[in-house]
This record gives sequence, structure tokens and C-alpha cells, in this order.
Amino acid sequence: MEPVTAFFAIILGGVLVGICVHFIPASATGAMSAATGIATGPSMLSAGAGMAGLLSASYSIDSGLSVVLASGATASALMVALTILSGNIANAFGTGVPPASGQTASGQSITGKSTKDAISGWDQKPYISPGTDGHGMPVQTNFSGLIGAFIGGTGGALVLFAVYTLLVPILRQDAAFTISGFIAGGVFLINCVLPAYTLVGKTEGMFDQKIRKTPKTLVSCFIVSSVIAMIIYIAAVVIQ
Amino acid sequence: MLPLLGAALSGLLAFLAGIFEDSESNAGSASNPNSQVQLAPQIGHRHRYFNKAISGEPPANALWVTTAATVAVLLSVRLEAMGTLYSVILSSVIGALVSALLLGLYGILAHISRIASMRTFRQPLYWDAIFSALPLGISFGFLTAFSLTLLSFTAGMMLNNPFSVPLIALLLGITIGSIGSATGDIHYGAERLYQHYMFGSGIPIAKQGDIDIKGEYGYRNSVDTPYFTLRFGAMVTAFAFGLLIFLDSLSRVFDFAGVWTSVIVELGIILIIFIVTVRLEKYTRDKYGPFMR
Amino acid sequence: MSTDMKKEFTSQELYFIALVPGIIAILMVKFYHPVTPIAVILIWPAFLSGANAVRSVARYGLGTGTASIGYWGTAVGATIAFISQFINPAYNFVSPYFEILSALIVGAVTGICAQRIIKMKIPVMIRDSAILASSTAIIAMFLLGMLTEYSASVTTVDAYITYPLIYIATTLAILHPFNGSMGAGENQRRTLRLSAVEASMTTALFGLIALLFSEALFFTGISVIIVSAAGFVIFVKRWFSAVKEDTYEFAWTGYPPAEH
Repeated sequence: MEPVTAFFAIILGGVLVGICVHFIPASATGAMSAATGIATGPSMLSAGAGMAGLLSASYSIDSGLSVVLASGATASALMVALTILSGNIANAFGTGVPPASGQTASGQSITGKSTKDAISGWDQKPYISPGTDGHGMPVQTNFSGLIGAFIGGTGGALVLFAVYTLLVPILRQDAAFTISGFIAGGVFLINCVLPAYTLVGKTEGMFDQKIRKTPKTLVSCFIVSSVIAMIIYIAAVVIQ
Repeated sequence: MLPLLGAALSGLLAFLAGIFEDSESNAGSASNPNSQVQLAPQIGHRHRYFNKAISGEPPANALWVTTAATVAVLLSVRLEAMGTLYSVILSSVIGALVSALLLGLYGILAHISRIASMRTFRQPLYWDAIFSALPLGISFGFLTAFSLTLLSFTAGMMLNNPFSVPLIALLLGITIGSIGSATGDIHYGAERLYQHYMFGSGIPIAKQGDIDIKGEYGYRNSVDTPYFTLRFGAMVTAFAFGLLIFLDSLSRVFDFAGVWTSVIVELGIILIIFIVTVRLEKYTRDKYGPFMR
Repeated sequence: MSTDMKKEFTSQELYFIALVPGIIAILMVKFYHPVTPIAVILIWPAFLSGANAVRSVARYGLGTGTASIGYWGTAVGATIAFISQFINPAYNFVSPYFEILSALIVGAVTGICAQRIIKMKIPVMIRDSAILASSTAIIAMFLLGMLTEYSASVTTVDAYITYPLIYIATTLAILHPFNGSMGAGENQRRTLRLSAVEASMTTALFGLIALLFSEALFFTGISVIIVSAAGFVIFVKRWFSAVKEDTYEFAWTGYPPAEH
């Protein structure tokens, strides 16, 4: 990868990280089974998934870009899939509620007035506990979470690989691995907080109305990632 | 043989770490259910919970684990004369002790400061509510940091992860924190804190803060919490984190498609998990039926 | 650090008392390493400034946790500090100004994005995001300098293994004072005093790390631990006197009133 390509790859990676947060269903009040989505803040959950992806991508960093991206994406998706399964187990047997989407039940999701799940077609309305905004992760949010994790894992792995190619010529290899891993983690953590400002702490994924606000995140993440990428590029290439 | 052994060992360590992590966060009312403990005095429930609230679970766990791993790596270089295995285990114990000390300090500062901010709601500061629950939280924190430090060493040494051990520890700490707060917390936040509400319902937003302050006998303090959540919430956390680390390591053991093997295996696993999740949803919908008052 | 005044410190004041001593402290460890224990004292205001920035941003209800804003700020500061570690030693004179300024810019740009594009309507967003990121850059540069500047030639392990700890320990020390004091009775005085306690805890931890890191840093490590411990005792006393004023009632044990 050429240094200039790496510069643009860091920006693209940062933007992908920003977008992924919109797709991963998360809500802190989920911990009281009072909202649809994984029971923690969107930025925290995306960070966890991204870190799992980085860890997995690091194993295959010598096998080329496409393998690194795929490993990062699948490991992030594995983390989100397992978290959704366990969250649903905790809801089903710990609290005794079936998964149900609050926004779909109130007919406000992006699919229109229908109260049915967009993928499985199961009606959500009768299964909501009164006074709550849904609970657990029904099929549509599960699917959306997996897509988000694929996007986020790809973004994290892309930054990892790009920084690694910038650092390999100027550092020892083991140092380059760790420092690029750390910087990729840093770029991930910087970009996954901006969408949380847009989401105000809660989202149901791609069937949520808030998905329409993605362009705002996209522009913000693009600007911030560009500045970060420029600083990395200046330090690693320009003043060497 | 070595990769398989490494996968099995890391799976085991991750499973143990999951149990301890969730118990640690529940013993200190950390993470999302903390908002409920925080709300309780505002609606008139003066409580005796240990309200630790160091931060969200991901950064807090990342700190414990990274401290333990950094100290352990630096010490194990010094203790190299003892042989790799002994130096790693001994220095991991010492590293975990340092992070347990840090956890204790942060825990005390957080609880006292949060209770001090509850003056308007006339919440007293009970010293025994801290000092009976703190050792429990510290020991669970110690065990979490210890198992995750060993797991980082396993990943770095047996599974040949190119990152340095403290960075692996940081990534694992953030991951376990977000899994722990996303799964185990539901059992604490939606069930344990609201045991006086009927089973089989989410907690209505209007009722939040109306937590159960009575225990099995007397008033409830945080020592009683892991006693309850260890049986289910901690196991679910351990299931998720242990399976994540185990399957991720296991996918690299095979070799039938070159460098793409692990990706293909993981995609297959994700598909299976997706199907299981959908079947679970169908099962609960059929079994529980629509909500009835 | 006379935090017992009645009026609140503004972010700019705190940033100023963090920036100037912070840069002096970084230059001290860079050019004359034996004075590290004194430099440690000069770096504590940077923790206060960071904690205050978290406080003033998070008070508005961000829609994300205090923890997220804390790790965001440190991610900016610490990442830039670590990026600067691989620039050519011939350009060493740009450090630490390059890092602190870059962090200030990234923080301000993020604040502008949050304010103008996401339209968050938080008046202090731009200013305090910049101050938060820049304060963490000062802390990270100092800790890096303490561990690496002097010992680079005699060390047995590489400095980069301490990067994760520098990142996450700074994160917790910055975000925890506000997160730990949250509640209706939260006030700046107690939050800043708690921040000073945690600053001394964090530098003591890095004293321990320095002790283990290299033979050459043995005495540095010991002296940093001693200075930090002394600071810890003083700050805990001051913090606890604020707690005594603010807490409703102390009890060794007992039942909550009015419910039995």
C-alpha cells in the first residue's frame, strides 16, 4: 500500500467506524429490559466489537489486506452475534421476556406503520411490556447488528493495516505491530463517540428512524478522521 | 497440537474471566444498573448498596487488566531466571495484586463521593456498606485481572499474536467490559434490583429507581448480589466471552483454505449463532405468549 | 491549587495553570531527568484541567456516558502523543508543542463538528473538547518522557509496551472525578479535589512502572512514588474535608431511616 493510499485508507476506516455505530442496536436502559437493543451504550459496544476485530485481524496481518479486513469483520460480527445471543438468553430466562422491538411496535420504524418485524414478519406489539420501549434483540435488530459489526470490523482492520504499512519502513517489526494496533484502537475510539452524540444514547439499528441521521455522522467522522490521518501522515512520512 | 491446546486454555481462562468480571461489576453496582441505584434515593429509597461507579465497565476493566499485564510483563523480564512458566505466573499474580489495590482505591473514592452528592435526598453514608462489599469486589477484580493477564500471555506466547501483551490486555479488557455490561447486567438490573416486581416483564421506565432494598434477611447490601447473579448472569457473560475467545482461537487451528480458513469458519459459526438466536426468539414467543396483565 | 475558593474556576484558567507547568514539566524530564519528582508535582494540574473539561461537557447530558467522553478525549491526546514517538529524532525540538497543539486542533475540530453538523447546542462543546484533548496530550507526553527519555539506551524492554497503560490510566483519572461524584450535590470543589487524589494515584502507579521498567530509573521510580504518596495523603485529607461538609450523615451501620 502506497503512503498516500494509506492516508486515504485511514480516513475511510474512520468513516466506516462512525457508520457502524448507527447499525449496532444498543441502549443503556436495555439493562433493565426497558429498551430494545444490547444493554450498553452504543459507543461502548461498538468499541468492544471493534477491539475484538482488531485482535483477530492482527493474527493475519502478514497475509494481505483482504484477509486482514475479512478477519476483522468476522471477529467483530462474532462478538456482536454472541453478545446478542447471550443478551437474549439473559432476557428470556433471567427476566422472562421475549425479544420485541419498541419502535416497530409503535409503528414508528423506518418500515412505516407496520408493527411487524421487517425480516421475520412476527408481530411485535403484543409482546411489549407496558411502559417499556421493548426489550431484547428481535430478528431485525440482530441482522442490523451483524451488518454494523461487519462494517465496523472492516473499518478498524483497514486503519490497522494502513498504519502498519506506514510504520513498517521506519520501525522494527514488533514495534510496528503494537504501535499500529494501538493507533488503530485510538482511531476507533475517537470515531465511535461522535455517532453517539447523534444517537443520544440509544438506537435500534438500521430500522430505527435515527438511521436517517447517518450523513451527519459521516461528514463529522470524515472531517475528524482527515485531521487525524493528516497528523499520522505528517509524523510518519513528511518529517522522516 | 500447541494451537489446539492454546485455544482450549484461552477458552477456559476467558470463561473464568467472564464469571469474575460480571460478579465484580455486580458487587459494586457498576455499569448500567448503577443508574437505578443512583436514582433510588431521589424517590425516597435510602439504600445500603455499594455504589462503586468507577466508569463504564469497558474502561474500568481495561485499566485493571492493562495494569496487571504491564506490571506482569515488566516483572517477568526480571524474573526470567526462574523459567518462563514460573515467571509468567508469579508476575501475573503480583500484577493482579497491583490492579486489585487500584480497584480498591477507586472503589472507595467513588462510593464516598457519590454518596456525598446525595445530600439533598438525605442518603446517609454507611461505612459497613463499603467495607463489607469492598473485599468481595476486590477479590473478583483480582481474579478477573489474573485470568485475563494469563489469557493475554497465552495469546501472545502460545497463539503467536503479534501485539505486545499489554495491548492484547487492553483490547481484551474493553471487549470483556462491553460483553459484561451487555449481558450479565440484565440479570442484575432487570431482575435482582427489581425482585419485588413480577417475573416476566421489563421494568417500566416510570418505575425506574424503585429498587428492592430489602434482602433475604434485613436490609440488602452488595454482598448479597453476586450470590444471586453468579448463578445465571455471570454464567451468561462467561458463555459469551469464553465462546468468543475460544471460537476465535479455534478457527485458526484448522487449515483447509489457507489464510482464508479462519474467516470461513467464523462466517459459518456466525450463521449458526444467528439461527440459534432466531429459534430462541421463536421459542420464547411461543412459550411466554403475548404480554398479559 | 487553592481549590477551596467559593467561585468556580473556568476551564480556561485551569487550562492555563495546566499548560504552562505541564510544558515546564515535560521539558524538565526531557533535559534534566533527576528532577522528575518535582516535575511530577507540576503535571498534576493537567489532570485537574482534564477532569474539569469532562465535567463541564458532561454536565449538559451528552447522550453518551461520561466514560465515553473520557476515553474519547484521551484517545485523541494519547494517540497523538504516541504518533509523535516515531517522528525522526532530528525533529525532536517540535515536541511537545506539536502534540499539544495537534490535540488542541483535533479536539476543537471534533467540537465544531458536534456543534455545527450534529447541532448539539452545548455552548462549551468546542472549548472544552479542545481543552480535554490537549490536557490528556500533556499528561501522555509527560509520562512518556518520564519512562523513555533518559532510559532509552539502557532499557531491557521497549517503551511501546507501556502505551496501553498510559492511555487507559489517564482515561480513568480524567473521567472518574466527575463520574464518581455525579449526583445532585456535585460541585466543582469536591470534583477537583478528587481529581487531585486520582492524579497522585496515577503518577504513583507510573512510579512503580518506572521502577520496574529499567535499572536506570530505579531512583526516579522510588522518588516519584514517595512524592506521589505524600501528595496522595494531602489530597485525600482535603478531599475528605469537602466530603464531610457535603455528606448528609455518617453512620457506621444502621437501617435506612423512614422505611422500617
